[in-house]
Amino acid sequence: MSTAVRLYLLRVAALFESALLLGFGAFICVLAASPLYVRFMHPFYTWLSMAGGVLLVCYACALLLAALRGGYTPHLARMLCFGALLACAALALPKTPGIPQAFTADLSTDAPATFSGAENPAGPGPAPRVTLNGQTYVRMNTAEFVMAADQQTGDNEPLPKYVALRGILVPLNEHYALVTRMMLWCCLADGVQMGVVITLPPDADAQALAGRWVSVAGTTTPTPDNLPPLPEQLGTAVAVQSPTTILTTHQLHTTAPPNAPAIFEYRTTEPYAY
Amino acid sequence: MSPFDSPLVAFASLVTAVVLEAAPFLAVGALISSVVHRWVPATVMLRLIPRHLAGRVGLGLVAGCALPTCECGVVPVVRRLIARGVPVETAIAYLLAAPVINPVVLTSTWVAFSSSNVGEPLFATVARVVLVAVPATGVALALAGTRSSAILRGPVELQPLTAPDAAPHTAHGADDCGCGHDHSRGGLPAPLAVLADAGAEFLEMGAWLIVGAAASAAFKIFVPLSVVTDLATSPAAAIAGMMGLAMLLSICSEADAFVATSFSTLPRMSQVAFTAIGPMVDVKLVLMFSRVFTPRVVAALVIVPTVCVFLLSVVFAYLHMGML
Repeated sequence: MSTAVRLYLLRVAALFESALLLGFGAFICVLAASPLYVRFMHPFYTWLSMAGGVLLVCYACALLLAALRGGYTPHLARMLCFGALLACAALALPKTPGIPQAFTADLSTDAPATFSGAENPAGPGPAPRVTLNGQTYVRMNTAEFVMAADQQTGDNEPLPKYVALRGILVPLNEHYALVTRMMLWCCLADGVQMGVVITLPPDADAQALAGRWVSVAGTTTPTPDNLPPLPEQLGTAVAVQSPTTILTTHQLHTTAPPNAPAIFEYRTTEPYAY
Repeated sequence: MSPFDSPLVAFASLVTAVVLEAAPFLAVGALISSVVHRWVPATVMLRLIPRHLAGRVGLGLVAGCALPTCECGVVPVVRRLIARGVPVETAIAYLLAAPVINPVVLTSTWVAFSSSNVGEPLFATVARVVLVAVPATGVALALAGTRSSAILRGPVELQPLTAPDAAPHTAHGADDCGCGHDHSRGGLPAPLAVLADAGAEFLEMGAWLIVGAAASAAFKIFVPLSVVTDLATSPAAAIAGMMGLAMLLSICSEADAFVATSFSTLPRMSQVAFTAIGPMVDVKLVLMFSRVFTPRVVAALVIVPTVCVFLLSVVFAYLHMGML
């Protein structure tokens, strides 16, 4: 291979590597501006990702100029790594962990639960309480339930007696199931499955409900001794459930996933984030 | 029952998320590195560095308060600082301490330990600082006075601060110094050359970040958590298990306290140990260290913090019985 050809190929490779960086920066910007962002990151960090993406686009443009002038030497291993990363992103985007295909990231328009009881049609989201058969239930998300159950002292409000939850149902046996939602602190890597054990109504088909989004309302009760073992992994490295309290189910329905299926916020007082 | 469609999708999602989370910090770190390289005069840096050894180490320990960054972003900055002649003890102390000893992470630690049943946020926050500051000081002192060329891996451009008039390393026009950069960047104007430098730095460190993220994601997806948590048969074993978990999970220092407190059934001090070791030693960091430092330094950066955090955590646990 002549020197001229080798130099030409090197320059093309340098341009390609710079283009990969440009593509990665642009990917971050587009993702940060899209509803798909919450599949990977807490929405609080949108601005940070956007800023980082813009910075990378600037770097890539400067690197492209340098590459055009022969001022950058490419590296095959780096190209392979960033190419693999973009392939991972493409693979991750079509489907998402615990998050449905069609949703928006607008937390204020969170889809209401499918309880047949009172809703708050005027409000932007679900009302903080729901009344079913004359009984009022406090809506909480599973993280709020777990933390309230495990922290009955301090400034927290005590765990309400009547609670409504929603999440993905994981059957434990014919009598018990776990209702779980992933909580993100920062990104998917630190996602924690927050689960609450519930009793299954006698007429519930546990296998048919497995993996489906459910709304459940019931009474908080102490954890029984004969609780079956919990599944070890729920798609995240860490899974948490309240060791002290379960929910004795009064009503259980399948429901549409909320607009933001992962939990990004928990509150210690009512109204809870639900 | 997993919320992921398949292990492969879970793996891809986790790799993407980890890199997405770290990319802004790495980008800023690369920019700082580039600015230091091209625009910060050696005389300015000389003026900032104390003369006494203790002062130089102390400066490194608290520098994160002025420049908060995560563990990924700090690696390129430290490489550049050492290459520019900043004393090794200052740079190494900054490398290990900055991801934890900064206002953002200390606040998140306080909040995380306040909002769980662990309680005692003051103790947890102070313990985390101590668990990081002690090994950072130890490694910094051990490497104090070492020549930069014995610290950094491969041929690296060195501009000792003892030569304050040294011009930025922009004179040559090809990669002939072996440091992997074309410092003239094809004759680009200085601001563009700084950006191009930062881009090259990001690509170099980012590649290791991606490899580390892949290793960490593979662990999360394919290795049962019980492999680690089953070790927690005693406080000391729990501390060791949680430290191992922190190294493998590679969680950002700003979020790891929340994950640590999720292990509410494990001894409390093991949760603090989790937050202390992760920002100093984890899979992706070790890979990034191995690109920047010599093998002996990498070994010191892994072994000293690991041993120190374990021993101190055990001592803390037994001294402070409430944390058991």
